Amino acid sequence: MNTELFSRFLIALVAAVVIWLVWFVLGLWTLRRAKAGLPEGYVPGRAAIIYFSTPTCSSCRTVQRPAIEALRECLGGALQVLEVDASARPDLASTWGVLSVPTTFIIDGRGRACHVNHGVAHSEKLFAQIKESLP
Amino acid sequence: MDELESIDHTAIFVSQVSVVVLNLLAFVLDQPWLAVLVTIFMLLGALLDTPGFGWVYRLALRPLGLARPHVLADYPEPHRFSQGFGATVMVAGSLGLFLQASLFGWTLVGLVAALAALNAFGGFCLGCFVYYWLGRLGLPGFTRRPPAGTFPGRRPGGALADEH
Repeated sequence: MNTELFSRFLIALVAAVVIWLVWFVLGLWTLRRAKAGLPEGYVPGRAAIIYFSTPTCSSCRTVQRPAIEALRECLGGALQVLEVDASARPDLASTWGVLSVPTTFIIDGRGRACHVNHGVAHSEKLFAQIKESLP
Repeated sequence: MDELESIDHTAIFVSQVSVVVLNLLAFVLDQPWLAVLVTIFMLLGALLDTPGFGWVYRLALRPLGLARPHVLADYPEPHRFSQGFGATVMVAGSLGLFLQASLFGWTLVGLVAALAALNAFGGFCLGCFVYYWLGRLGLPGFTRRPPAGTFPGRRPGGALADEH
């Protein structure tokens, strides 16, 4: 019985690690694709959030956008926010490796994508990511 | 969609974590009845339009000061959908477990735990993912055109970039 318990625990652990690895590798792959080119409107020299959403995405409107707005109020002119309608710009969404919405990219002052969030990211998480991206 | 409502996202998070923990325990300890318990609470939650394990937060965590409310004006439909979908998969998984189709049953139980974990810790929303790709495939009813006169990719009445 102990052997079976241990085996099941091991299976659950391996499955959890595999899922985490897939999620992590997906993030790395997405960041690699994001080097392809920044959307128009990006101003070099300032940190940016590039935020992909669609008109039908409710969590984009109700959770993600308020979180980004809270961050913008906190950081003011030090942060630029570029919102892209992924349904209107599928080419841009594909280039950036967007798989779902909302997806947010943190861009540092040199124009490099250094973090990606495939899903809702609350303001605290975005703030920590932006802080990491600053020199 | 219906009107915006005040929704406590901490209750949703606690419910999702409870689903993950209980489903994992059910599998590791080989106790299908635990999976059935999760199924019942998720079904009740879907019917009563409340997080299935939200009572853990309301009756224990919040009074003890172990969790703070995070109330947002939000639409209830996506949360209702994800709990209903999860409950449906759990029903199928539980049936599989009791009909001796263990691999099938535990796979579905694990799938629900994985999706709940991705939502709770990664913010990933399966419904959003499905909706997005149905829209990308051009299925009717899953896209919305921007208002007339709006340049594609730009927000209506404004520039693409927010300038401050």
